[in-house]
Amino acid sequence: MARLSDVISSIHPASESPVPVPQALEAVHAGFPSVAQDYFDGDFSLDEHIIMHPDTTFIVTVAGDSMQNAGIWDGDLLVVDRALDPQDGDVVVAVLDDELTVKRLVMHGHTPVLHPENPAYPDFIPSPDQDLLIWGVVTGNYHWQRKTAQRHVEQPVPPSVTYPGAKSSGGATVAPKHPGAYRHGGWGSRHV
Amino acid sequence: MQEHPIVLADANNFYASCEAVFHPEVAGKPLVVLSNNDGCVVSRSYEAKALGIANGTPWFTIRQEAAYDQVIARSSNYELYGSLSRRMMSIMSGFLPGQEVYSIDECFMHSPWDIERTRRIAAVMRRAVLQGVGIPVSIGIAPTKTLAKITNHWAKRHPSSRGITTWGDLSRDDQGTAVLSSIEIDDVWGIGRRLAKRLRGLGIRQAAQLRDQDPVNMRRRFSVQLERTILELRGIPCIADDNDATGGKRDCQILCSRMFGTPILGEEGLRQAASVYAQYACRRLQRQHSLCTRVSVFCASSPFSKHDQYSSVCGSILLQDPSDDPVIISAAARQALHGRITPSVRYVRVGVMLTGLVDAASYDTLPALGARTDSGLSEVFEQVARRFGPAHVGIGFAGIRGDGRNNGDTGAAWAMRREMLSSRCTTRWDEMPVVRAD
Repeated sequence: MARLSDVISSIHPASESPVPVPQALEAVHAGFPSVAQDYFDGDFSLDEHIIMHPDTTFIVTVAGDSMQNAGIWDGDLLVVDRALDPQDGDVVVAVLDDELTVKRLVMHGHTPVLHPENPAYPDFIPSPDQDLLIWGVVTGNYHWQRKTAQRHVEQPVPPSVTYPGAKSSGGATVAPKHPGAYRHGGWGSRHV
Repeated sequence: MQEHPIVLADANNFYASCEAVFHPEVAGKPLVVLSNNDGCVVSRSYEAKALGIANGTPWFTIRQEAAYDQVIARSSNYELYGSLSRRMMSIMSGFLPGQEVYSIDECFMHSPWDIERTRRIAAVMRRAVLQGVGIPVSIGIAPTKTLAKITNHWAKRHPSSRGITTWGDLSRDDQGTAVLSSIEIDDVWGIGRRLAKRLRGLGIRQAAQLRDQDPVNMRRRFSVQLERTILELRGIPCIADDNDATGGKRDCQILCSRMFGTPILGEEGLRQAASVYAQYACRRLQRQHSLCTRVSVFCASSPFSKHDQYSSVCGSILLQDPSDDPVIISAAARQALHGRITPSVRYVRVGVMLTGLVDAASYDTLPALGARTDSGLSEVFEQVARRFGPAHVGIGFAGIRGDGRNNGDTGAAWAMRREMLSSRCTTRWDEMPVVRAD
């Protein structure tokens, strides 16, 4: 931001020139201006693309292999929208035995059945006096292909830090006290 | 008949309800949520209310009995409550115009429709919040805000209302006299404890009696606010929207005060805490674009302590120039306590108060005596916090950073105690809820 003093100092004194000409406060780029500037509005957002209802969508993680034939693996992230009414064939998060569980909802006539996508597991058929509570409808899942790319899990052991000239031996090696402090792999390496 | 009713939506047992959203195992069980530092009960599930646990009860006084009754206790999970509150408010804002978010769990709205249509919309809205975020809300529909508060309260306590009550439902036969006669003066919106005491001295005990007072007379004796409350009880809307509550809020003082997990002995610990809270307060100061001229710090021992007598000290520094610079403000906060601390007292609370606030944009003084504004340090702090999480960088020494989940946020041995914290399901990647596939 220009301060008043900067502007004043940039005006030539009247004695040198009959008409004071203010200098440009910004450098002017020579060359063709970037046409793209008018078009660039930020990269597209994965969030916006996969989440229809941000207010009612929650991200949860999966523990277990009972849905692997539906392409949902242990450790995957699930996008769960609570605003959607569950329909026959939806993958849903349901409340079973006071726990959140992921299953496919299949209607047998008028009876809803929770069907795991793995033959090793049995269907869950609620008894007539039992209410089936559907917590939300799964709209998609995210599966990490390269485990080492995954953030917030096991990180490689941080490098030890050398402080030059810290000791008479010409540089002591000090292991960081809190490994977490280096978990992002150093300043400016990846995320901004 | 009033054609543009006011709608008040208020969550039922909000904190306790939030705890059950990702944890079906606590639904339908007695559950209490405790205040800062696991001090007092601040929210109760219906089952906990049925056991007779009162709001504000110090947890340590009922702990054993509660364990016997299998009461589940949780520390306040502000991250989760804030996230669910924002979602709930956002959903509701899509149904009716003029939303005024009044607190974390309640909002007023203005319906352009008649009562019956408003009721139908409110029913759909209520269902959308319950399904979408799992929080039950109660809705009061009335010609004025004060009556909307009363109808909302009624809807909460009477399951037959199915969560929605209109003033017309309650006042059909007698202009609401029966209902207002059942409401103690303290429970009327806007009547504080002290005012209630004075009113009771005049023989005004229930809302109905207050309604029947002469408003002009009461304005003379008390205040224009009380006159407005009387008119509102009669169904004449006169409490304007508090825009402060929604957006352009500007506090005229900023207070940041906490209880400690463990008492602090000695000046250095207190100065660390004062410095940290000064930085919190400073963030709020900058958010409302103000500068402050005075920094006050107080600290106090526990009023319940068996070890020592209650004692509190307070110090205050007048800044040379108004400022929003965290360096200047935290330095002043450290300085304010200097020499005032009794070394043997176990202090459990420190607060930092910023007063003499002026608007940063319109503040204007002699050229050489300009305001000392933040040079960009806060922006850097924000960026660091966004990337590495809170409590990674700050001004001055603030104790040893803890490793635990609970004090990782605040940083020091004296940090807030949150021993029974549930997972912060929507704001922390590492505390994401797990669904079972086995």
